[in-house]
Amino acid sequence: GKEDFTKTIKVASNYQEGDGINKQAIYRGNVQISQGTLMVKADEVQVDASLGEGKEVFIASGNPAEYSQQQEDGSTVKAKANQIMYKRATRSLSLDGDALIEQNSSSVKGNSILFNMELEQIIAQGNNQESGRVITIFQPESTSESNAAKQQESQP
Amino acid sequence: MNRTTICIALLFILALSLSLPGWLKKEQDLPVTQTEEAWIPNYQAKKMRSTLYDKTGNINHQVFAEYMENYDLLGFTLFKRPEYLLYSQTRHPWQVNAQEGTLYEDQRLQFETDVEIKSLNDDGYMQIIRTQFVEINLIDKTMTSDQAVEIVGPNYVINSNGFTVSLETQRYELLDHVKTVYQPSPQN
Repeated sequence: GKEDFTKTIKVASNYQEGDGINKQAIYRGNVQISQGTLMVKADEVQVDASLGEGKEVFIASGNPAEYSQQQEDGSTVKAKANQIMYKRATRSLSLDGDALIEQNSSSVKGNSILFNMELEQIIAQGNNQESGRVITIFQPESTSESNAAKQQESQP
Repeated sequence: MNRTTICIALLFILALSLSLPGWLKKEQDLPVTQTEEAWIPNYQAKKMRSTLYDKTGNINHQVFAEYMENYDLLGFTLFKRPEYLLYSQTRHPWQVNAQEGTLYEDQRLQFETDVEIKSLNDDGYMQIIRTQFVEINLIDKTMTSDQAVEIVGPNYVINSNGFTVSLETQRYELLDHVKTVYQPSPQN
């Protein structure tokens, strides 16, 4: 939920190295990021803190890297991708490489998906699907007050 | 002079002659062996401040200690409650406080018990490092420890077991990282 973003972010891993001057850090070895109900699991996470406090960017990579978070209505949104980038300032998640996101009984697949965690909405979705797979989205009646824009059937 | 006094006198002379050589034998003073001598500090100092300047006249490093003992033969100097100012003229000066410090001849500096290493320029990303033991190599300006360590930055705290840090490039490596906690973002 929204209050997750007011919480501390804990990163646990076996190994970490970093560079104090460029404010970069790399975590390796079953890396887990947790912030309230937000969880990301990955093999490696790179943290770029050069943008300043509270604007860190966490780039998690794994095969796949996984994300899960409890939504306002209590249900859980899950996502997987080769790379998951969590931008703290914009509270957005961009999934790249075999991205899959499951939310309120609808699931979206694609090459890259941009998901706004605060609004709990998929913002953009790039799917250069040569394989022609159809991505079906069942848009449930959103109960939360943010009026989920009606999303038409997307063409392959 | 009746016989008894003669006997007593004889006994006395006998006793004297027996014990005299023992007294007269000159005690040669025990030679202080090489190792024992080494354990005697060459000099000691209280509330000592020593400043080392480099060629250009800037302070290279400065140490203040409640108490200090130097052992030339053993090649190290002991400090009680040292406060060490390191690399003051570089971009990343550091100040180290601890209960005990040892400076070895080969430019290794070890600190023990409540060690706190503070970065003196406040835009450094690593502000304070706390541990129970650290060894600083003054030549290649690196710092290592195998003890639990806490690195505090502007908005994060790192806990790890052991670390190596290059004081010059501020690159660090934590082989047994435990966790890092980033504070909530300030704006909302």
